Amino acid sequence: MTPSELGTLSATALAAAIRAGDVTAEQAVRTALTRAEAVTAATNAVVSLDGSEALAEARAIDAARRRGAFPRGALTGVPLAHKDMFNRIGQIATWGARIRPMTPATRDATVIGRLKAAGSVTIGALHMAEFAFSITGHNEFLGDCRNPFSPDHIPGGSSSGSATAVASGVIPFSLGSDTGGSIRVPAACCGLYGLRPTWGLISRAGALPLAPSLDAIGPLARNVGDIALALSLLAGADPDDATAHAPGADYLGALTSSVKGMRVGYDRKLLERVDPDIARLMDRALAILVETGAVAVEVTLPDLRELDRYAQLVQFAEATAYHAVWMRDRPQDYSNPVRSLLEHGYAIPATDYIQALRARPLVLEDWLRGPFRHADVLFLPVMTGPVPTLAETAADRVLITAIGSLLHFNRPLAYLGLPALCLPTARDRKGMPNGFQLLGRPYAEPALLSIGQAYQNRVGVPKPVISPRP
Amino acid sequence: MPQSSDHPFVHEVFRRQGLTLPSERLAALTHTAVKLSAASRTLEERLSMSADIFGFLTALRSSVPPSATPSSDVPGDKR
Repeated sequence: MTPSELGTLSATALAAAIRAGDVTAEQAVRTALTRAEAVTAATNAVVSLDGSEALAEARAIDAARRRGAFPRGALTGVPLAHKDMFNRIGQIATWGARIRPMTPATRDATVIGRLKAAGSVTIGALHMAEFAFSITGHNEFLGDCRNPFSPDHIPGGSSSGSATAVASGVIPFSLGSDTGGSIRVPAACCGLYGLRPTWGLISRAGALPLAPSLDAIGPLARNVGDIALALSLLAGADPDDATAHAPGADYLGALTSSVKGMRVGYDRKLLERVDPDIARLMDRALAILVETGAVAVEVTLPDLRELDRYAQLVQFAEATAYHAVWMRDRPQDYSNPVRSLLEHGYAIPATDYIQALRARPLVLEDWLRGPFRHADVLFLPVMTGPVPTLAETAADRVLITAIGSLLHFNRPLAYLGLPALCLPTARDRKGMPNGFQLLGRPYAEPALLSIGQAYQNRVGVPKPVISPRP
Repeated sequence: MPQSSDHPFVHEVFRRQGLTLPSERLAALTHTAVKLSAASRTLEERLSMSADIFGFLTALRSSVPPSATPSSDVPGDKR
């Protein structure tokens, strides 16, 4: 199997190839490391590589095979890397920032531990927005991350390195986090699937918080099967995160469930407000969902702008509280855009913040008794326009319209805590990727995976960008 | 746009935090705060004393159970 072929494999297929002896773990890891170096030269997707340790782990797996003691695990020998916001034993995460942990982590984040327990080999850490507080992929400390389809365009953020590395075929999937769109936007910008799970489905212990009432950790992948595999390994209760909870669900089994008759709700007025070229892509994506056997039903969604204000109350108040000490003692160590965002939280009275938290069940009920009464999943764009360029979203223009385009459909939905799966559309008229999202009821990830797989069966698996332009 | 002097809370908060901001920046933050406070007022109208900040977790967990199958009330769906 050639290195290029290895880069196209899903995690499931790569693990099977290693298990069968068609590929050694060392070959898989070495290929990923080599590819990571080439990709980061073009995109700046990688923060650091742990080549020696990763290769040693891979050789140990291969040695175990030779002894007839191949380790059991769904990901044995599969190289992975994630947004640099998770604790990893012995490592200091960059958090995409100048301010970093004082000492190396003494424990792995729960999600890292669970992927390691499944046999994956961590090859390094990936680019992210400063403190996960930007939707674009700009970063003045790490340098900007670039879209693998076009270096002039953003990869989306804050999980910028995760999306870029997966889209480039370095790794089959990667973990990101989503507070206001930070999984869905990079997934859309890079033509990937990305899941923001139900709030609390996946433990956040050992991960950098931004606004804990909104934060969700989830996978970005080139195919739905890897999203389901990651979810099957990561979802569940965790003694280190009291909010973590997962009802029993068969995520892998959902991949083969029929979607005949599944009701996909869409709001025509909402779709009319996006860029005409993107609206065309949305219409096509909705038509493909109907071709899978789903039924499109027209619904009216509540006001997203008002919902976004509730989300902002929570996001700004919590983010500023978490950063209060550094904002006072080290304000110069923040970039101007992030410091400006954090200043918002001071202006929010505690009473307003608490009302926004108290009202969440009522607003959720509005959606469950409203559009979800008529639909099993809701169809929304991820962005109002095409993938912006780096120049259009530059730091000195951070509050301009292009940012609004990226947040418009994403931050409001985070307030609801509902699961959202981003799926890739066809390319836009300039050849760039885009995406739409399907929003589910609480813990309806199986339904999202079912229809996601059905969609993928119609459109095919996105091919990795094997040779990103320098 | 409101001025920071129109909203002394914002000015006072920054003073207590020991942070100094230019007046135009304070005015911009005040503008956002006023807008977000208005949204909070609309929420308050719906809140009873039984609405607590942990209710969201309960609401999520007590909502629709996971299902990978379409709704059973779809015409023609016999499952």
